Amino acid sequence: MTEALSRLFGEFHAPLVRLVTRRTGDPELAEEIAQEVFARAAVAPPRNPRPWLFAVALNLIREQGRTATRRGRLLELYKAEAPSRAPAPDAELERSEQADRVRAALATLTERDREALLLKAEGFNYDEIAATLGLAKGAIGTTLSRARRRLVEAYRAQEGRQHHAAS
Amino acid sequence: MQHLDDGLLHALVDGEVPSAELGELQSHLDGCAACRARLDEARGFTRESDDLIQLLDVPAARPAARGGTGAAGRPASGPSRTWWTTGGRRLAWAASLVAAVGLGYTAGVRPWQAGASDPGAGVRSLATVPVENAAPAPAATEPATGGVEPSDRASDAMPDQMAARNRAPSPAEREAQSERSAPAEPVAEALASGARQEIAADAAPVRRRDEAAPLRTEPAAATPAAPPAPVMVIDRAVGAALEQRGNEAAKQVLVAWTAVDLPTAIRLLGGSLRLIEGLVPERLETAGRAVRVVYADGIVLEQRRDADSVVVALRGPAGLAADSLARLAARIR
Repeated sequence: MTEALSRLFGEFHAPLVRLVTRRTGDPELAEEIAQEVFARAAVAPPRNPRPWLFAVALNLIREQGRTATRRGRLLELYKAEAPSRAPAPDAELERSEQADRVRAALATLTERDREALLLKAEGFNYDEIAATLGLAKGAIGTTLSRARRRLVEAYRAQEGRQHHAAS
Repeated sequence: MQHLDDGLLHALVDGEVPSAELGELQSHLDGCAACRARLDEARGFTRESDDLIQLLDVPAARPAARGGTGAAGRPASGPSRTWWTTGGRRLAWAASLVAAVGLGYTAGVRPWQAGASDPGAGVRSLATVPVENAAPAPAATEPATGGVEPSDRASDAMPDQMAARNRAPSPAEREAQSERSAPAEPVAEALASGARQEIAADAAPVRRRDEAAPLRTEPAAATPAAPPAPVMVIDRAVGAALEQRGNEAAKQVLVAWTAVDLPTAIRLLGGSLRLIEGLVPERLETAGRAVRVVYADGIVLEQRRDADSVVVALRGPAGLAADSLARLAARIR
């Protein structure tokens, strides 16, 4: 069991952390969730690990999201009160703002569409996405089609608003 | 004529359409300009959404509250780097750690001691991953350039399938490949709950250095009964060391810790001292070849040079939750 878990960890920890980071924007939380996922795998080793690990991670993200919603308002107030920091270099700031826009665009997708898109970005094939999300394989193409279009259009809309505000 | 639906077009772009069905699709595309245009659009959306998702991996310029949007203050990871990358060097060991909550652990017991026979006494831990010679960071990610580019003829379905199958691996896939070909990491089992303590307590006896080795300790003689303090061992060669030393480790007894300066501590450990990022050490102490970094609130990071590895043990005060200890351990640099 130990060797199997070690292999799982070696193969899937980094992609798992990456997906959760992309999904939440919080690398520390991503690490915590990944640890929790592997802790659960240690107790109940999955037969089909890849979809299982990512499905558990996505469930934990949803659970965390429900908790975070309650705290969100307090955190927003804290952000408003925090002292201003020195401005970051322009290029870094621009990229960070781009990442924020991507996240905002992702937030316009349904949870399923968002998850399917992030799993595809991690190299999952349709069978694996279907197994992870509990969808029929035949629905994955349509799901990704909708998700990609929505993401791109939402991002373009934000860019358009920003350019309009800047002008 | 019935047009091809968007799901099928995206499956085509993703290389998910069985080859047996391609002929029919090709025939349709040859005769339908609208579907050819939509196929081009599907390719564009796929490419653009992939590029956008890659943007999520850029470092953040400012912190963001947890649960909110925006990148966290800690540099976000690219597909080839994780958040614990320091100076470009990927500390892969930090990703692999074992939490073992000491059952009957007493303050004087060293985690590298062996020989405990009482499952309720001493420290239980499992050897984990290397703390030195961390794997170098994988090559920086680059946008997937693609192997076989889709045909310029929008009506040609076959090149999409071939492109999807023959394209250069995406950064995620490339990293997965490099991880699989990297030297095997010793075992890491994250055990961070009470239920998992029993598993650790029942762990197999000491094995080869590449495998997890449960670490048994002897209860220190005449030590007062104290609530077990959680201990997490991040270790590389404990198993081998114990095998080599046999009962010698079991005979190790408490030694007195004395204050030591930073250069001496670094020298004792062979050139590097591990610290917990974000915490300010109160003092450094040494005992024999061991060094410990003492933090506030009973957090102690002990390190000991042992042949070609450094044995590291993170200790917390009694009552500290194991997952809190795990989070601290993840910040060891």
